[in-house]
Amino acid sequence: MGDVKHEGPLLRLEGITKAYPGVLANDSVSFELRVGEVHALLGENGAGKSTLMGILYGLQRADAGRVLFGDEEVAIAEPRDAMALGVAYVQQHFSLIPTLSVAENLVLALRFGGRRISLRDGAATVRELSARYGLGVEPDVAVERLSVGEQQRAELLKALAREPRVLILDEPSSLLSPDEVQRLGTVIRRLAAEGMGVILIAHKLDEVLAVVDRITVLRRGRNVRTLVRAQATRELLGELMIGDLAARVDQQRAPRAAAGDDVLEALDVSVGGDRGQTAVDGVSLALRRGEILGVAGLQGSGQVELVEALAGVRPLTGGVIRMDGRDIGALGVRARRRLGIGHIPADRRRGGLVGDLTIAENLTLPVAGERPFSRFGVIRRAAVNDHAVELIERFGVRTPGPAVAVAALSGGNQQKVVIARELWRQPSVVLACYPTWGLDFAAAAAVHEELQRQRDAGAAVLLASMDLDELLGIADRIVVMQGGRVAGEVDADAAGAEEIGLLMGGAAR
Amino acid sequence: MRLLRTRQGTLVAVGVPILSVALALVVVGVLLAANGSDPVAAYRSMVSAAFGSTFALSTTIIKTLPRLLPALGIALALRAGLWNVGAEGQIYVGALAAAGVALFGPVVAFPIAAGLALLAAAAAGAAWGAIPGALRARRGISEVITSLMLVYVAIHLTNYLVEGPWLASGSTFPATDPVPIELRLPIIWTGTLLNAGALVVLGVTVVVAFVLGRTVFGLQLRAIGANDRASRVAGLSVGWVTVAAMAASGALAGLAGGIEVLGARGRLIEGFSPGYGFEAIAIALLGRLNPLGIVGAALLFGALDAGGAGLQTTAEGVSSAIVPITEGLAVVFVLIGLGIVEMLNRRREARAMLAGSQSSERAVTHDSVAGPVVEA
Repeated sequence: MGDVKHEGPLLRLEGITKAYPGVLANDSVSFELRVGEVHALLGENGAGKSTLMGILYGLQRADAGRVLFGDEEVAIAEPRDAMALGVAYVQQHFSLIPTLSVAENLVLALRFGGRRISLRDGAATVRELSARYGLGVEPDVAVERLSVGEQQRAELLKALAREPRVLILDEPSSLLSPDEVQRLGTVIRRLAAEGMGVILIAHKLDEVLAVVDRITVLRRGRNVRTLVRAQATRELLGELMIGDLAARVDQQRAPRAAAGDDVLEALDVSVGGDRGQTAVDGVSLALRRGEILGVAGLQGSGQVELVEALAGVRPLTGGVIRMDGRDIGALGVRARRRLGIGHIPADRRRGGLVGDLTIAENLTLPVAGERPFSRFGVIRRAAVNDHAVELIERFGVRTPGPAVAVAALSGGNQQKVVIARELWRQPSVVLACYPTWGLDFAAAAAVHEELQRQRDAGAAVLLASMDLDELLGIADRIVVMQGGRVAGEVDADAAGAEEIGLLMGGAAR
Repeated sequence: MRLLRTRQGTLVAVGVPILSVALALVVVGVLLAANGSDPVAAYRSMVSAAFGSTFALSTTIIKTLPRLLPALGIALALRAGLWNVGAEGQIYVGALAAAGVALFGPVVAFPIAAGLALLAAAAAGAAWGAIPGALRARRGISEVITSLMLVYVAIHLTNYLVEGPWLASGSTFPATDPVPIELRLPIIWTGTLLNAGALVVLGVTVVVAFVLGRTVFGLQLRAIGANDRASRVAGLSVGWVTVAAMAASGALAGLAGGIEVLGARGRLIEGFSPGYGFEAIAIALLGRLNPLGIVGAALLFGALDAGGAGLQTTAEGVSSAIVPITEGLAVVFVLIGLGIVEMLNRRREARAMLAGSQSSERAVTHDSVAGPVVEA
């Protein structure tokens, strides 16, 4: 990226320290952003990236340290102050109102920032920015009708309308397909070329390497190193980010196990979606003993609905599901669990766990009616507690004890609770939908290890994911879904991410 | 439903209701003073009528009983995420069933006869509650509407029976004949009118607390109330638990109706419940869906009722209408208070989240801030 003019610093954070009870989220962290620079802030979950950016954006106050714009120290007490200084923050979750159009969302957002413009001007701004940066966003379309990628570009557009000097993008690629990521990269480069400073919060190395000028790596709240693009390699960054855990990445790929018989078969399965659409349209696939079948796809490709149908949560609208040759399509969730199906649902908080209940209660929820957990309908607390203590230990859930509400756990630990509950009895079929979504590296690695352990113990594992690295890393075979259908099947050993990517996006694009 | 989340500190759980009641009393006091009455004298006469003597105390308890069981039932349903607003109707069908057993049932000795009548009352209430539960479970019809509509069916059915076929012979007052002595709940506190129904209510209260906290059914009920989706994934039969929770809720209200017939009233009287089943909703909320809290809230309502009756006889020019005003205000303040607590919690959660040791908890942590929120 030699075309960048390295002018003086646009922004400097110096010696930022921020403590939360029990954690030093930022320990004297420094960060510099130059004019026209794309600067990635890299680090694992909990490394302190978001805290640092929160301080810059006025969401938190630092305990110590200075924020300088140019050479001038500034006080940022709340987001308004940051906005006034020209900082825009595009957060991971969208803050768009689904029923309103893009232009209406823009007008509303600007009004919040104290600027009143008419709807017509708003629409004009949308068109102009969209054309200038190639965002491809129409002003009059309701946000709910946009794809995830389009919503994100609408969100970006909203930030750009404020004409920021500094743009913070938090994990912008997490929900995007490969070609949408590329498109976003192009937009980011153009913004930088116009002199904007762009901070990219990320943990996906490849995407970062493709667009940045410099990279600052944080680990456990501290600066590890700041390097320029030319010095950075994937391996080096991985090592800087996660330290000694890096060794585990390379070993992850175990030799492929010899797959056994079909355990679970879906034949021409169709399933309805939440909005009455046909979410899965005539899908056939088979899970084999001792094999991880990857199901690749983007959001809305029908993966979630397919997994839910296999688990018995969602009714079939057509087709047959067989387990060990027996038609189980009409069985409920509980009956399928008894047959040995474990299900790690897509959204652990809404679909997996009951946040208000304790860890022990969540762990025993599916089996509460069985001995030894209850007798004559009365729960035996000691048995429930012992069971929880054992699973907490076995699956490495970090918690003060089994009586803690699961809502109080971190995402990784919540997922461990789900996994413990689903896998402790060695099910013969494991259905895992986005099991590492939102987890940091170590937590995701633990999930992968557990799935592989199940596979090696003879289970038939289905892993639905949007993350190609994950699928290529641990799946033995990969089926690609697109628009509710199977778009193709590739062997994970030979498969290039490109081919899957094309299939996922619908090869026509 | 977030307001009713039970995962809150004890300070909030106890402090908010107590503060709310205090605030309601202050507001009513100001109203009284503005009207030229002496609030201190009014409150003093209320306290005296509710607690001032053995008889006053027993009156408070008697007035508490028909409110407590329906409130427990409503709380039970709410813990499962269901609004049983039809307790009033379930009270009436329970009373009808008890009176039916009294009038037409087999002639047996006391505890058995009364027990049969109370069982019938609970069963009738359960059926009345199960109907909205089943409609909700099978067809997705809102239990709020159906349970409320069934209230009027029950009341008018009662009216029809006590004015017609079940009317005491030779009487024009719409009530049945007195319940035979084998079914009467005996007085358990000499010198007062407190009957054995109090013991039944006490026992049932303990059972409800036990069921909620210590049984598989209670766990399933709390699970579907907190997250029905996750419960379904875990293999729970959400439909069955829905019907069972509504039935249990109705059974408690029905039992209250039966106890009124066999105890305090001694017969089935048209319009005997002045809205206990509706007040019970307020009591359940004031008691924060916690059995112990509900006992406290029901006692408060019972005392206000007893005190209000005393008010009319002692305090000059003070209407007993201040009682429902106080009750209503207390509940409104509780909801406002919990709303404020919830808002503060959310704000803190949102900040903590943005602060983000959990920044990449995408699908997971954001349900409290995602959705229609404009970037601030």
